[in-house]
Amino acid sequence: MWIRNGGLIAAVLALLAAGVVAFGAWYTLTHGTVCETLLHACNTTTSGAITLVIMLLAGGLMAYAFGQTEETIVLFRERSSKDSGGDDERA
Amino acid sequence: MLEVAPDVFINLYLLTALGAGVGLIAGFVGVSGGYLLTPILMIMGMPPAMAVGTGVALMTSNTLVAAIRHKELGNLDLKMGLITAAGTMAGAEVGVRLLHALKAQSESLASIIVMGALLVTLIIVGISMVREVMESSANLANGDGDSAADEGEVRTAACRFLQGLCIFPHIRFTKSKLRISGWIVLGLGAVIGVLSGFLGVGGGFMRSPSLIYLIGQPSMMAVGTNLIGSIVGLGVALTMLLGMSIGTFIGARGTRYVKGLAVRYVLAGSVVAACFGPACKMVYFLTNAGVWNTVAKIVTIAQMAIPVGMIIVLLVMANRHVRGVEVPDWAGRLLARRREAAAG
Repeated sequence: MWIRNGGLIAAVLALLAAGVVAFGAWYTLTHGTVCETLLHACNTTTSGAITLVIMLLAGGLMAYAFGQTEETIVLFRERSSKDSGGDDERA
Repeated sequence: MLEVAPDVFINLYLLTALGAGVGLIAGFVGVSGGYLLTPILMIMGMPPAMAVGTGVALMTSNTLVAAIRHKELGNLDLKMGLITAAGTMAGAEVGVRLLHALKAQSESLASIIVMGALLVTLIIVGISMVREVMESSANLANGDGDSAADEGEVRTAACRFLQGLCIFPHIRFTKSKLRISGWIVLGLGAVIGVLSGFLGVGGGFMRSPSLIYLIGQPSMMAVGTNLIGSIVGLGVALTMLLGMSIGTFIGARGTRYVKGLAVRYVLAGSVVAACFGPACKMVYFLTNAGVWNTVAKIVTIAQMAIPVGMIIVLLVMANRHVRGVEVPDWAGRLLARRREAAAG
């Protein structure tokens, strides 16, 4: 029920979005010199614009991840309440 | 420990935890958190230029997270946000030019004037807010407040006067449930922009109280609306964003369980706490004793504890309230009705 209503997909999408940001953080920390060289190759305005786009994308992805997490929780709660309601009826 | 700049090592777990604290305040109160972020990064050992750039980059993305969250919660008045943002952008340019003109006269005098102006602004905003929340709280306790005050909102004489001014065009802000001249909203944004450009702060701590007390916007709406309108250790910024966005999510979600008065309490607490850092810095500028600079940095981090503590206590009380457990009277006055909170 929970899976059919899109709960699993929402959970996977949330993990994926947060994972992309986490991977980006890990990559830029471990390959800092590569990123710096790339950004230093551009002029200040371009590197600033690239940074802004990256940060906005990361912010957007995190907001999306939290939206999906909330949906997962809501769907999971709905299923739980329906299950307990069913038990009551049987009882 | 990770090397973020030559010979600069930062504990990323601590950085993420601090980010979560800043995010919690940003999400709950609706400030971008820049006044906390940059000093924190500098105390962690990051070079000043890199700390400023990283702070700005973080504010940009975290503001987006908070604004989206508040829009989903219905706390965002996009129309008012965009008009104040337009005024703020224009005003900030004027403020920056004023600062440059002052710096051209004397660098040290400019530092003292900027720090003094920031301190005076913080003290005025802080004292006014503390007085108002105390009065509203007492009125709620006595049960002699009007229906708006019962919901934790305010109708000051200034906002009644400004809403009554007939300056064309009058704009209806349906989300905020008020009608006011567009020029007043734009002008307010411009004044805050001038101050924010001159003082070098994001301006959230001035914009939120202005929207509540001068325009008469509901506190929750002001929290969301304020978020519109505010180079780089990219890896540090992205890592800190993970912690910050979790804090922001919880903080924004937390506004569902409290009244506007609670938000104003936390905002007043954070503005009052924010006075101590610049006060120590001011003493450092006047006495030139290095110890005051160190004290200023420590106090800046410590001041975060006050609003974070207040928010955590409120959320714990809200959780008990929703579950039907008895809460103290003072907490009951600050929390949303159980049915509303449960629906949120």
